[in-house]
Order: sequence, then structure tokens, then C-alpha cells
Amino acid sequence: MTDRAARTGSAPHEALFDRSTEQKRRPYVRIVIDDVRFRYGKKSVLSGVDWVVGTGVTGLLGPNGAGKTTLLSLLVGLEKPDSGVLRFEGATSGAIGFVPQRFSLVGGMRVLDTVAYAAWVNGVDRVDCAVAAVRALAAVRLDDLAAARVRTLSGGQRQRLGVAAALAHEPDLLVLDEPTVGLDPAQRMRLREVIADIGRTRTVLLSTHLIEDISHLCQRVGVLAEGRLVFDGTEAELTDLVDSTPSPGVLGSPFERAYHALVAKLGADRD
Amino acid sequence: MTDLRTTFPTRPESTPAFPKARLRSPLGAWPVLLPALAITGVVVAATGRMRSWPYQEWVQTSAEFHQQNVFTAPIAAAAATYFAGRLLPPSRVFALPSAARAGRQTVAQHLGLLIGVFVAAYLLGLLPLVVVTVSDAEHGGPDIGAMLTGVLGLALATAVGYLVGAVTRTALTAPLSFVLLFGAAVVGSSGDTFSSLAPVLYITPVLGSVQSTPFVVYRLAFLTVCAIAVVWTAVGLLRRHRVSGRFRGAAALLPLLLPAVLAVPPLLSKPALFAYEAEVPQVCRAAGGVEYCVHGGHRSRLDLLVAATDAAVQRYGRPAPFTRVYDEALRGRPVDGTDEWRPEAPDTVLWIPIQPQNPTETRPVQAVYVLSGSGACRRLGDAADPESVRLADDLGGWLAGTVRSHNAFAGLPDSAVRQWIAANVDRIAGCTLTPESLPSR
Repeated sequence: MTDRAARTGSAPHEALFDRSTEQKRRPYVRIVIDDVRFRYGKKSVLSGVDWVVGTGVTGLLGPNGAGKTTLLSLLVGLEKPDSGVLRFEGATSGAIGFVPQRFSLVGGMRVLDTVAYAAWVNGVDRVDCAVAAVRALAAVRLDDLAAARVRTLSGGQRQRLGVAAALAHEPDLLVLDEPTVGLDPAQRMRLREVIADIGRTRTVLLSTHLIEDISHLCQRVGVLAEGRLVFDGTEAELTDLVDSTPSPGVLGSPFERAYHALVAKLGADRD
Repeated sequence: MTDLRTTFPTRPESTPAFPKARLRSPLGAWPVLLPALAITGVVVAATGRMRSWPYQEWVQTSAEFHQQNVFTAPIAAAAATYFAGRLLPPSRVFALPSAARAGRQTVAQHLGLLIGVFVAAYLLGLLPLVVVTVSDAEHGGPDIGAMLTGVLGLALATAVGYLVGAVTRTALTAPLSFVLLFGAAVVGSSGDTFSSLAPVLYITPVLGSVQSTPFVVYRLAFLTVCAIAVVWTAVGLLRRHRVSGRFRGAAALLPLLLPAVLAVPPLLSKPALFAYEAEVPQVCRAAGGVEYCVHGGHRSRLDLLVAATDAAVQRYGRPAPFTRVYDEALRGRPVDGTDEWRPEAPDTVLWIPIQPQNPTETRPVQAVYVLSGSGACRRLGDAADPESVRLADDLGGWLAGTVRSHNAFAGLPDSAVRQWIAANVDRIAGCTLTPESLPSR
């Protein structure tokens, strides 16, 4: 046991991770998206997206079919843009952690093995994988379930396990596609806490259609509509920008009303 | 990617409670160990009868290395499909196509584990047979080329199963792989058309013959090219997933054209499977005016052969129509121009098949076949009088010393039968015996 572990009485592996040291070392990554265009066959999905995503947790909002998932796929390298540039400034490793909207796990695998194997697949040296896995599980508060089988986990725990798998190789950037979908309110709150924690030490970009996610988690938000970025700023800026005066039949927070008003305005402009 | 050791604290040596991750087989040990146990079990069981043979022949033991692919290759393929089907679907959180090691390194790790364990299990299953052969074989040594075809066959089957899992992205296709590989074994063992292409042969060589060098070399080359093409395709599939979300399966399958092209020549011109052994050691002994010769690898069988055959010749009581009794394992050896090997041996040389699985040298089957006229009757086919055939068979029984109660010669004094044989030599040789010609009781 290390000196620190001996002093504090914590588990041996906890002494391995000094969060303050890690936070000092890790530079924040800036994502620069410059006039990115992408088509699926004849259908234009992204038609010239310009965006700079800075530090902390940034949300990507947009109605269904706006191109959110496509933009994330381009960011993590699952697709190639037809034109335009995607750049990561300040990245040390170039590694990206990605949690897709729908991902699958093997029920018979142990939680620890799932994350350690994800670490190996993502380039971590074999000897470091167990350490990486324990570290990532601690980050998503699943370290006490390391020996459990995946099939025994709840939906929220599985979602956090997905985040741990994406974190295990210490990416500069974590990309999450609709991470809170399908979770009950308690699980959603827990996952938000985890993501907020992660956002303190690295750049996180998450796409969501839940306004609450943005309000609870994100320092900045981008709104994507019809393949274009129509807003980039803070929650307050969006609220100020769009007239969000309460009207009969429209519920929600000022931000939520502003967002819906923005999307509605875009639809009206188009018509 | 930067060296993660700079940001990852390494595990202190003094932390024994640190959990251990299963990286080589993240699904756990059983998906690999269970098929490995099955492979060993199948091979041990299937070679059990061989191990009980009175002696062993290296040529047959070597051939078992590929013949045992018949059930083990489907098992290995099905297990590999299960493994790949569980780990490779791109929806898996640990198998996202954008991962740094998706492709070559993943395939290398998975197939390295599966092929390593399955081949080890296979060789373990064959080990008892090899040990018995080392102890009991009287001639020669292992045919490394033939043995390698079996090992390569199993490795290829594993790779094919893995590819099926990679393409279908589900473990549910494991039975499909089993059927596919079993079908390949059946095709190979159905005749010599596909012998060059499938590890399992429809016939195996026995002592005195060897698998021909061009045949073995071709098989080794073909299996190697197939294995490379299959692995290449699997890597290509995973890489293409990584580069683009759009599945470009047709392009990824291109490497499979290579073995397809290589498969054509032996289908157009079938190569000789076996060749006679080049230098055949011979052991001979004379008895009763007959020269008996066996292959050096059958030296321990010579006395049994002489005892059994000479007893029949002595009961016959006349000079036998053959003067030399040769082990069929010598048939590659030049004897005389007229002594070409023929299965029914009507000439002066009687060829005896001496094989450990059917030790006919302990029973004078071939000699009796000639001496009793049964061979002559068989040659006549349907033209032979059934009564003559029955009498020839009865005489054969009497010559072999296995007279049953209903035998026409049962109860007759030996001297009377011998006199009768001397008087009816031509009728015996022509299969024209009749009940009236039998000696009186």
C-alpha cells in the first residue's frame, strides 16, 4: 500500500489517482469546426457548420433530424466530411472518447473487464489497462461494482459504464450522444453529476434533446437546425436573444421557451 | 498517441488486492476453454481405436493430424464465430470502429488466442497417439508436411469462423460455421476431386506409400494462402468500419479471390495423392518352399504371417500355386516384371495387405482365397455355379482350420481331403466343384 493509502486508509488503487495533479496536467481541448458539409446520398445533412467548442461541458441541442448525431460521428472519425475542416487544438493524444446513443454491452462480461478491454482497444498499453479501468470506474462511481457482471447492472449503471469505457484511455475530448435518454429521473441526475465531474477535467461535448441536460450541465450550448449551427452561446444569452415571454400553453423554463421559440422562428422563416 | 505512462500512474508492486483484468479473453475463460476441451476430447476419443492397434505406422499417425479436422475444425470455427460475434459488433462500447486498435491488432489478439489454444488442444489430443507410435512403430518417422496440413487446417477453420462472426456480427451464426466447416470436410472426404483443397482426405496412406510431395506442398500453400486471405479480409472489414460508417463489404472481400483462383488448377488436373515409398526396407524368410517378405515396418508381423499361411499351405498338401508371399507395403519395390501387384494375386506372387487396423497376417485369408478356388469363383461372378462357390468357401474354411458343423468337409479325415484336393486341382482352380465330387465319408 502506498504512503497516502496507508495514511488515509483508502483502497490501494485510490491512492494511484491524484485528481488535483491530473487536473493540472490536462490541457483543455478546443474543437474547431470550419465549414463542414456532409451528405447522405443526395440528402444534405450538414450544410456548412462553423463552430468552436471550448472548455468544459458544451451541449448540442437540436430537433430530431437536425444533424446532431452526424456531426458527432464526424468528430469521432466514424464518418468523413465531404468538405470542411475538423481540428482539435490543444490535444495531447488526439484520443477521443465516444459514447454513442445506442451501444451494446456483453452481459456475461465483468464490469472491470469491459472497461479494461475498452482501454486496450483504444490504445492503452496492456499493463496499464487495469489501472485505467479502475480509474475510469471510479470517475463514474462504479468502482464498487468492478467485479459484477454487466447483466446485473441497471440502465443508469450501464450508461455510466459506457462513459467509463469511453474514458478509460484518457481522451482529451469526451463526446456523448444523448447520454440520458431512457433513464429514470434519479439515474439521469446521477449521470449528470458524473458528466459534470468529468467536465471539470476535460472538454465534453454532449448532444441532447433534453433542455434539462443543458441547464444542469452545460457551460455553453450550440443549437443545430437543418444542418446549420443557428446559435452558439450560453443559456442566458439564448434566453436574452429570443423573446421568451411566457404565453398561454407554452410551459418550461425561460431557456426552454427561448429554445423552442428559436426553433419555431427558424421554421417560420423557412416557410 | 502520447505515452500514457506519463499520465497513468503505474501499479505499485505492493498492491496485491489490485483487480486483474482479462484482456486476452474478455469474455472469460470458458468460451475458449470449453471448445478446446471438446477438441481434445474428440481427438482422444477418435484415435482411441488406433492406439489399441498391435503396432503403429508413422504414415497413418501423421495422416491423423489432418483427418482429425473432420469434427474439430467445425468446433473451432463455431467457437471462433461465437467469440467474434460477441466482441466485434461495432455497436459494442469496446469495439467502436473509431478505436485505435480496431482492425489488425484486435484481429491479431483474438485469432492469436483462439488459434493458439485450439491448436494446442488439438496437439494435446493427438499426443497419446504420437507417444504410442514412437513406442510401437517399427519404421520411419513423422511426415511433418502432412502433419502441418492438419494444424493449418484447424487454424484456417478458426479464422473462417472468426470471419463469419465479423461479417454477421452475431454469435448466433456459430452453428452456421459448424455446418460450413463440416460440409468442407465432407466435400474433401467424398472423393479425390477436392482432396487438394480440404484438409480431410477420403483415403489415408498406409505403410509403403507416402503423401506425394507436390500434393502436400500444394495443400500447405493453399491452406496458408486461405488463412492469410481470411485474416486479411477480417482486418479489412473492421478497418473499413473504422474509416467509414458505410459498409464496403465487396471491397473487403477481395482478398478471398486469391484462394479462389488458386483452387482452380487442382480441380482441372487432379494431382496424385500418394506415391510409393522411395526406399523400402524388406525382411524375408522362407518356409515350405515359399518365400515370405514384409516391409521393414512390419518385421514383427513376419512370423505371424508365415505361421498362418504356411499352416494353410501344409493342409493343402500340394505345392501352392504361389511361390512368394509379399507384403503389400512392398508394392513400390520393383520385384519382377510379371510380379506386378494385383489384388487377387492369380500368379506366383501372393500379395498380402498387412495393416494394423486389420491384421490379416494372423489369418491365412489371402492364401485360402487362392488355394480353395474362392478367388476363381469370384472372378467368374454371376457365371459361377452357386454350389461350386459354396463348396469353394467350405474348402477355404477347412484350409483355414475354421470348419463349422455345416461345412461339407466337416468330420472328414485330413488325409482324405488332401487326396481329394490332389484329384480335383483343376476343378478347384476353375470353380467347377460339384457335390458329387466330394470325398465319401
